[in-house]
Amino acid sequence: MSAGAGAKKSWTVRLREAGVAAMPPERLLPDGQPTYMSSWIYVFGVLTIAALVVIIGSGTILGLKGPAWWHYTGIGHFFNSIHLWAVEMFFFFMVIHLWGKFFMAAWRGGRSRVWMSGTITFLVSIAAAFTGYVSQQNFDSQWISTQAKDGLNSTGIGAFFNVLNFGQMYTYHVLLLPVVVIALVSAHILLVRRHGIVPPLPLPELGAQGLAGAGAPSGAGAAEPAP
Amino acid sequence: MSFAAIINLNHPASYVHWGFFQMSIPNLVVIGLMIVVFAAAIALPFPGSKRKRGGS
Amino acid sequence: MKRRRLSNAELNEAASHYDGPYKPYDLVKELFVAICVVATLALLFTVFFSSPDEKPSTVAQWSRDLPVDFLNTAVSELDGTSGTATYGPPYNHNGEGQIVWFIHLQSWLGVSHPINTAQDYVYSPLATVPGDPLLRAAVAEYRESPAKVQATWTNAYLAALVKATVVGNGSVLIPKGNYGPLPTMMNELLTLAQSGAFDGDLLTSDQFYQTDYTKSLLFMADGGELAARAQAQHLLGEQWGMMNETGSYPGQVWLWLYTFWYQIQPFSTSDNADVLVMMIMGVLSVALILVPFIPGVRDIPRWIPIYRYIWRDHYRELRSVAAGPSGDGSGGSGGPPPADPVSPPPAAAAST
Repeated sequence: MSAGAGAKKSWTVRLREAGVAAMPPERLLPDGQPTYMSSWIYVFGVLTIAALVVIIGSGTILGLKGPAWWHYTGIGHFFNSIHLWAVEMFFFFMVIHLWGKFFMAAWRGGRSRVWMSGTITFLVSIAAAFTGYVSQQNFDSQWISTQAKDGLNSTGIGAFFNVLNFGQMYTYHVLLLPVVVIALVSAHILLVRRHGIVPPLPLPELGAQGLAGAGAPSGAGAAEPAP
Repeated sequence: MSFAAIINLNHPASYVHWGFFQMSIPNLVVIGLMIVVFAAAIALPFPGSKRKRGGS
Repeated sequence: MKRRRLSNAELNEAASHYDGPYKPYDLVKELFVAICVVATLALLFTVFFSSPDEKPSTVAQWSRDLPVDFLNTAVSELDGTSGTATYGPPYNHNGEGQIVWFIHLQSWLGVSHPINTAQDYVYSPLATVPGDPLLRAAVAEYRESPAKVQATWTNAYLAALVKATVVGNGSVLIPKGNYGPLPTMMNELLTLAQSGAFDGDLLTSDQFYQTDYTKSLLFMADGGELAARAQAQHLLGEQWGMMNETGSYPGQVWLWLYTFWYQIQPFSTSDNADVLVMMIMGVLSVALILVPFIPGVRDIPRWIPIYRYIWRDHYRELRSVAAGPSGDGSGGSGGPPPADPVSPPPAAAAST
């Protein structure tokens, strides 16, 4: 309960009211969606998030037991496999999600930040996966790190991001980059909730009436004749 | 305790060569699957899309 | 009325609001189902295929499998001609690194992980061998000789290694020649490596606890052991290796465009290939992020109208509304669906 009307608002009240105004609960977790969302292409965003959940879950178990565990126990190898296949699925679903959103021109209507946060997440995920590959402590990580160092050194990044330094790469992989990925995905989802799912592109042959929402069936919509 | 997979993939992969292009069969399978799944996601009808009234 | 193509601004305006109907949808259940589906798929892939785990190479293995290659590498570290010795930043100042025009990014960021190859890969490991006066004398003789004399010995030794033979216990025999103290030093280094002590030396020479494998990996990468294994697994750069995984596992398919550039001219033969490719990919990555603002690229969805299939149900309903109310149903919806019990989410108070 806030203080009485006329009292100076506390920072807490201001933050709460700003948060609720920007994102009312029914907008944050709506129980409905526009009727034009009737395609399986729409599930690839949530599938990507689901893959990320499995990645983090299996990764947490791998982290709890330390980086060497999976090499010498069957159960460790099992969780490493879950982690690897979840990563393959993560990129699989994310790229299909990207293709779908591109061909829907989903950046329309003020949603450019949704697109941008999504593509930045894709690029950061590549870096996160890379630090995982060089943290495996096997031949694959030996080869990948000794090769990748040339690309990174050539841009000067190698001066402070040493892919041959297991301690550094492991820390990036289990903490620093997952934090960034989760922050980006959260921002992405909040932006989607804020702007809503992009309406369909207007069909040229339907003219102005083809604009989604305008004249779309909603009780007594006045339909303009098609040209 | 070792954990053996049902299908052993620990042998060198087969590759497709075409000029300077070369790709492993497993990678081609993944790419092919992505295209197929993308097309299927668009082509397959979504449940409830043809009903008269909206409902779960 | 002529069909008019809407401008980008008009498209944005049209998409900034939706006044049409909603239907109930359970997002939380959808997430739960998605997690179950993905976890099940991960489990199935794991049970069927597991995951690769090729054991890492060690200096011990390398020196036993390819002793001549090991000695070649050790001599090149000593005389400063190895890949690491001539790399430049961030390991040393012995090379200028890769450049693009006047942009010397590799040099500008400096030497952050100094490696002195002669010291780190020859003198320091040999100094750990206890009580061998002949070895100490050989090392001292080499270090105190003029550079020209050292070069005579190393060049002769490298030429001799081409004609070397490997005997049963892993040691290397070379024809007689003027190599100075090199054979004593190199034979001891080979013994050290084959015993496994060299692996430990490279890791713990600075401190007890170690998580930084830079020295070990650079040394092995200067030799042929890692590259030989990589070639067998199609992991070399010119084999599109960046995308591949060991064995028959799918690899990193999303890196296709990164590795593509290395396969074509001028990158495939350029000394500055890495920085050129990184710059191109940097530009393309920024372009991907900024697609909404790039005319032409942002219009591709309208030119390749996959959207017509994605939203075909919606367009069918719009057409039936445009055609006017009709007695017969078409495609299951004879007219606009009735008003939905689900109300749209409340608008945010702040404007977008």
